[in-house]
Amino acid sequence: MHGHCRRLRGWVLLLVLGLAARPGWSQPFFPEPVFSQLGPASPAITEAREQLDQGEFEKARRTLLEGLDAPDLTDDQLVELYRLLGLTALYLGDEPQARDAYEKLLQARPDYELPRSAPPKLRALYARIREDIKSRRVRPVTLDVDPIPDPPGGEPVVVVATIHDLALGARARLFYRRAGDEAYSSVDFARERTPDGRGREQYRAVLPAYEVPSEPEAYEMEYYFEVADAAQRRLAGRGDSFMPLIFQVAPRAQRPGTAAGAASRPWYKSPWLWVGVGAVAIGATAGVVALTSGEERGRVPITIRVEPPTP
Amino acid sequence: MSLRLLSPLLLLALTACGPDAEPAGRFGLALTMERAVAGDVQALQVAVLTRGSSRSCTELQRTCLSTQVKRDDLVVLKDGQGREGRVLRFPVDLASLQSGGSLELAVDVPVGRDYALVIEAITTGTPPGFLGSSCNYLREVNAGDNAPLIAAPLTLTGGACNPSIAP
Repeated sequence: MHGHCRRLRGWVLLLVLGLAARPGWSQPFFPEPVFSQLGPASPAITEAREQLDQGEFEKARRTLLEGLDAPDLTDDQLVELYRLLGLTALYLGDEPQARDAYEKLLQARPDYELPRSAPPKLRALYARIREDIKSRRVRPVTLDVDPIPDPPGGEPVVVVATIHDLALGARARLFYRRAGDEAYSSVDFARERTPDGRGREQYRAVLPAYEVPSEPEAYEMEYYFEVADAAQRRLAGRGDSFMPLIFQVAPRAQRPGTAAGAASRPWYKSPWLWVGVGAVAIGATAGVVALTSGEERGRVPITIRVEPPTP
Repeated sequence: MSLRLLSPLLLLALTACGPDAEPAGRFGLALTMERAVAGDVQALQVAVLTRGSSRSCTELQRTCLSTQVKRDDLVVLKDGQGREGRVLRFPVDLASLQSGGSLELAVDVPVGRDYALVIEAITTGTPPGFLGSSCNYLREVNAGDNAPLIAAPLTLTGGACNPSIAP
């Protein structure tokens, strides 16, 4: 009887403690994950999701366009940004921008499917874009860039290019080296976004001043432009590593366009003389090669297989 | 020496035999063909373009090469039998391909730089039909060893164009 009372007192004490406990004590030891942690996280994505939830579509569009300008975005983040941008543009009735965003999304994730809960209008547009890509009506990357004019030394060289339909994950770069060097260095083109976020897409690369120092003698820099996809396949370009373009950095005393510089240049430094010498040398070399090598050929074996059946 | 002693040595000598080394002056181009193409293809037409870096492979793959380039843009090729031409056609053994086999072609290209190699899948009726193509940039072709390449997959494009190019 005495033991029974002691057990009863123990149960009552447990019950009282349980009722008096603070609400926080009832939380599990391991908190459930926050929803935003499940997808690719970036401040712009989180903010845009909130703005979309609240129906602030114009704000969400601005947030997403700013988010796309952020450096070092992962492919997952880019996909999510374009997905949200497509959705936002569609809510705003801006079909061209929605189309643009979904094209980029599909270039990165060809197997991407919209959730079944997506609105029918969105699903219809998405189906049309997929069909376009399947039948290869999506435009290829085009690079429009002018050769670099001879710059003065000691100042950064700014190059502006127009690149249309740059695939997601693709990079446009300016490769350069001092003539005579073996390896090329490179700088990336960064997007210069227009206020409405579409239209002709301007990109800009800056060759730092320390790469083109001012020196007493003029020197040449070799360079080329290349747009390559994530697998480093060249999509577009101007010049290449074997046949680069060239600009000449003016010597310290002489700036381009100054008559005094041209007048004081000794005859053996005249570019025309060396162009002539070069042409003669190339002609002679070509003649010698043609005479000595005949037609040398390299064999390219090609192995063709049919893709394995999909399970 | 007894036979018991000789046999492990023989075994060791045999296991040392591996596959032959790759012949010099070659590189492989591995190309996968979409099943939709493999159903209809009757021949493969190979061409090599000069000034490869100035060309857009995406654009070239859209339709027949014959409608997009001039004859002078193509280099003269040779095949293993000594046939010569600006394009070379190779008949396809469909049954072997579809049963998981592979087709081996060899094309002799003038040593040089900055090429684009285009392989077109065609039908050989009258007129011939275009099914699709694979375009690949070849930075250089050496007489010595060349780096192997994975070619762009050959996918079904179709189109009402005649892929024939004068040899």
